[in-house]
Amino acid sequence: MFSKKLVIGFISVLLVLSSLTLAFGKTTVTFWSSHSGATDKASIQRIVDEFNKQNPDIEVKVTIVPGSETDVTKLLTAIAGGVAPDVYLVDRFTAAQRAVAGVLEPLNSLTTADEIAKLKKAYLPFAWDEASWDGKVWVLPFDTDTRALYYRRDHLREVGLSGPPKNIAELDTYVEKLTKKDASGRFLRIGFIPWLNQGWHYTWGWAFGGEFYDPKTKKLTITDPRIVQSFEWQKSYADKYGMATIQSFSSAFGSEVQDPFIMGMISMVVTGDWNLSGLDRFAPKMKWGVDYGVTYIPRPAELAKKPTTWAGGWSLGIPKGAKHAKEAFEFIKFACGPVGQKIYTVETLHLPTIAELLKDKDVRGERRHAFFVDLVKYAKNRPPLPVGALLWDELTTARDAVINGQKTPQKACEDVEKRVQPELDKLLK
Amino acid sequence: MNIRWFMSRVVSRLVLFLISIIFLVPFFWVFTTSIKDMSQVMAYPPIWWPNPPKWHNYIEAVNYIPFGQYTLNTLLICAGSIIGVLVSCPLVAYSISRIRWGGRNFLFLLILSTILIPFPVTMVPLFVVFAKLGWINTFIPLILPAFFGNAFFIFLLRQFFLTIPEELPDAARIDGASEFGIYSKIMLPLIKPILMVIALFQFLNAWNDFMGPLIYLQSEAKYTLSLGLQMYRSTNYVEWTLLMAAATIVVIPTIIAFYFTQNTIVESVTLTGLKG
Amino acid sequence: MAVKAHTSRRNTLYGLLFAFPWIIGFVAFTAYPILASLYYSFTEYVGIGTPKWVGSGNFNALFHDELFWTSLYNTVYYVGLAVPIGFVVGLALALLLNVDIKEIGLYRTFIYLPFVMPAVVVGFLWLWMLNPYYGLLNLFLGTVFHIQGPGWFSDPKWAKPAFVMLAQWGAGGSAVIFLSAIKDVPRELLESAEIDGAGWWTKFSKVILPMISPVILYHIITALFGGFQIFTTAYIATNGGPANSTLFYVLYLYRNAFQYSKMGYASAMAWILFIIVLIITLIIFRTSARWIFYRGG
Repeated sequence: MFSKKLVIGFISVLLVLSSLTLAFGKTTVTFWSSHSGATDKASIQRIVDEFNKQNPDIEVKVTIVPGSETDVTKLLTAIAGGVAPDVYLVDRFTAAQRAVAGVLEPLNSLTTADEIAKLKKAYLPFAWDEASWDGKVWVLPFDTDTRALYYRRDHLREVGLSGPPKNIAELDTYVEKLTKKDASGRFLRIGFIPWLNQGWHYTWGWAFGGEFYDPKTKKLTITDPRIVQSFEWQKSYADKYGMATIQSFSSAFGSEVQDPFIMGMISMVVTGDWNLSGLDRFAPKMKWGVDYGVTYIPRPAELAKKPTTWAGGWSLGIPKGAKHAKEAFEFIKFACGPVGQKIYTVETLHLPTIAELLKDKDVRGERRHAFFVDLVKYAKNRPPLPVGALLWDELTTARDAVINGQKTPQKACEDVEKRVQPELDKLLK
Repeated sequence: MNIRWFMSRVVSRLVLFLISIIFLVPFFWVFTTSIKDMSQVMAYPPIWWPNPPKWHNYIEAVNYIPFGQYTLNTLLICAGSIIGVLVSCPLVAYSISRIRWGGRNFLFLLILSTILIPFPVTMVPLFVVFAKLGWINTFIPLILPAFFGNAFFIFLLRQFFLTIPEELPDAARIDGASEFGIYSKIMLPLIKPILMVIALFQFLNAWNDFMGPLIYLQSEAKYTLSLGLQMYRSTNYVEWTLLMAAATIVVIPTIIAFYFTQNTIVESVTLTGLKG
Repeated sequence: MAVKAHTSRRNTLYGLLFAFPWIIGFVAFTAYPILASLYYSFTEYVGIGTPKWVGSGNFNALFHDELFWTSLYNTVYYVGLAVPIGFVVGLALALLLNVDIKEIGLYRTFIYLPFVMPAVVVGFLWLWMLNPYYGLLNLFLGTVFHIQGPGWFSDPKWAKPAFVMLAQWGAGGSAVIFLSAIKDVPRELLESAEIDGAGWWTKFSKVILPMISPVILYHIITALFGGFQIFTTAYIATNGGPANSTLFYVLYLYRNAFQYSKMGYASAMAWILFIIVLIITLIIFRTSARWIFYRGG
């Protein structure tokens, strides 16, 4: 019969030995990712596995955490409590906000100025722009995406239209032709709803040639007449087709298989490159080039020569107080570098932020995907401001107020400036 | 008399039946969605019962996340916190209701006021306290506080204690019983039904708690079912059928717990032990 | 004299002793976060690092913040409807569930069921059930009553009422508590009332109601607290929309704290809410003496 003391002693020795091996063994880098979707998760794991293989003294461990683009509750509490992860997946346009909040470790402090300069050269300018604030860089850009106009070729054929609309005016006439109602006046099909899907305030503000922020004066320029005009144009749809009717029609829109574009309830929609794989998965019978096509987001005729789009995407950052910042930096250089990005973008059909990968055959993929890849060079990005999330929500409130007839476009834009500029000024001091 | 009795039975049955339908329809929907194929989920007109039912969703749902592990974790937290509230809350409630001391109303108000502060602002400082104690990524922050009372339950128990006539403990005190003896031998048995209610409510709280596990648990192996349910949503879409299957599974223990305890909970207990 | 002092000292000792668990917990886990949030409400603070003292700055800003008033209005609107309705529904259900029929256990379970659903599922479920086009509710209204149902969550005018409705679906929780209290009413009282010739309504209003009034107080106070802090379902189902019509107070507070990195501002909001609800609670308690009957004395 083993004496209790012996057993306890044996176990303690085991524990001590194993903790010693842990101490002298690999460094564990904790990586919190909020991408819980099957494809994304698997692809990120592959990047992690590849890195671990090439760096035997570091082990990166991925933990899936619930979160979203603007909600970092868990990260914040973890940092406050001193138990932050080493790597975090940051929505790139919030990087400046997280930087100012002191949530991230500036990457400049982890390496030489030379290396930073080298990294900067590798990335697309707009992506690096988003990752920077106050003269430092806070995250490394990971993937990106672009938006374009998808249209149902079969619908267009049906009403005798040959090609996609080339500008806003043409778009408006197309919508008139494509919209169908039933006997009681309810919509069977609407040609286009400007604010649906990725038809955000930013989308149209830029399409109409406006700018939202002036970095020289450090002032928001929401009242830019072209942005006001973009709101007026969106309102014109609410007025022309009836907001209440549009509202109840669009509330019937589902997602995935019930996506209105797939169901034929709308003929055109602005959305991103990810929709290609969505269409493949949920509407396998719809064929590119036959049933649907993709073209540039419509702009007013005088601007139509230059395509417009904007890009979002993610990045990897190192939270403040991370215990293994140096190793974490090695990892994010790899994941956000050409090897990591290639793995991810090819598997998930997203777009890279490494300039040279834009020419890569595998990344470009088939022609319809390459279209989005080529759009990247025209992409605008949301102004990297420490009030990013607030600005987004305020713009959405403004847009809703305009299309619901509660405020005039001019007033709505003024209110955004009135509410957000003071916050920005406070943080810029 | 007979007709009235008959009518009340029939009418109440009818009303109960109708109300039950209203209350149950959403559940029915969750269930039928769980056996649909993704393409049928948002069909219009709605599909009431998919043909053929895709029972395989349940296998997929259980494999999508480490269901067994998460269930165990959740059960552990539930059990611990139920014991905690059952031990602590009646004690405190007794103090502020049936012990005559000057500070009891102030204490009651103080207890009540702690529930008035919305969680987002106390969340971070509280987290820091636990972090300094080194309890992050353990179940301790999710179980231990229960042993220090829960304001809602203390309030509820207070109200129930107040329905017990003061003569009862007074008589026992005159007879020389110790305060703790009165508490454990006289008061507690009288409120057994409400203790079951509290156990049930705490079970629900812990079973469905999301915020707590979200911030205190850091390794996936320790996640609870409520965190697990979030995994069925990714940035661009929701695995509806699997989520509904998981939700159905997650709800079943709570249903069973309730069905078997509801009788004990609501069986009548006469609290007046005095004659006349 | 000495005996009285001795008993009162003894009582205080026991009072504190029995309350000890809560007191320790309060000191260790609750006092600090609450005091910290009070401190933060006078600062500009992103949630980590050093807060910057701004005195009444946050409170001033809140006064001029359109969304603060909107969220307050939305919340009061919701509480004003949901609490009274919830009380009536909960009590009515409890009475119904008190009927002596064999399968009553089943009915009790059915009605209690919605209360057990995880909030995450409830939000999505109702988004879907209240869909104006294909949701079950409007389908029902259309086929049975031939009314065109409103837009519910997608219509700013109907979104709040939709939440009030949603709240009633969980009335099983309060019904159970009321039921326990009703079951507690001494049979002798009801029987002697019957002997005196009391009808159903008299029995209900003159015997049952007073007897369960302590629990009614509990229900109202907790419903009030809960109503003022409505968050999770709104967060999931509508995220404050459409057009901020369901931007409830705690939702706006949460956004400020975690999405806009304005923890100080959020803390100020928290304390304003605290004071409002505290005042309402004190009023209710003060006036409760008139209608609450504590059988125990």
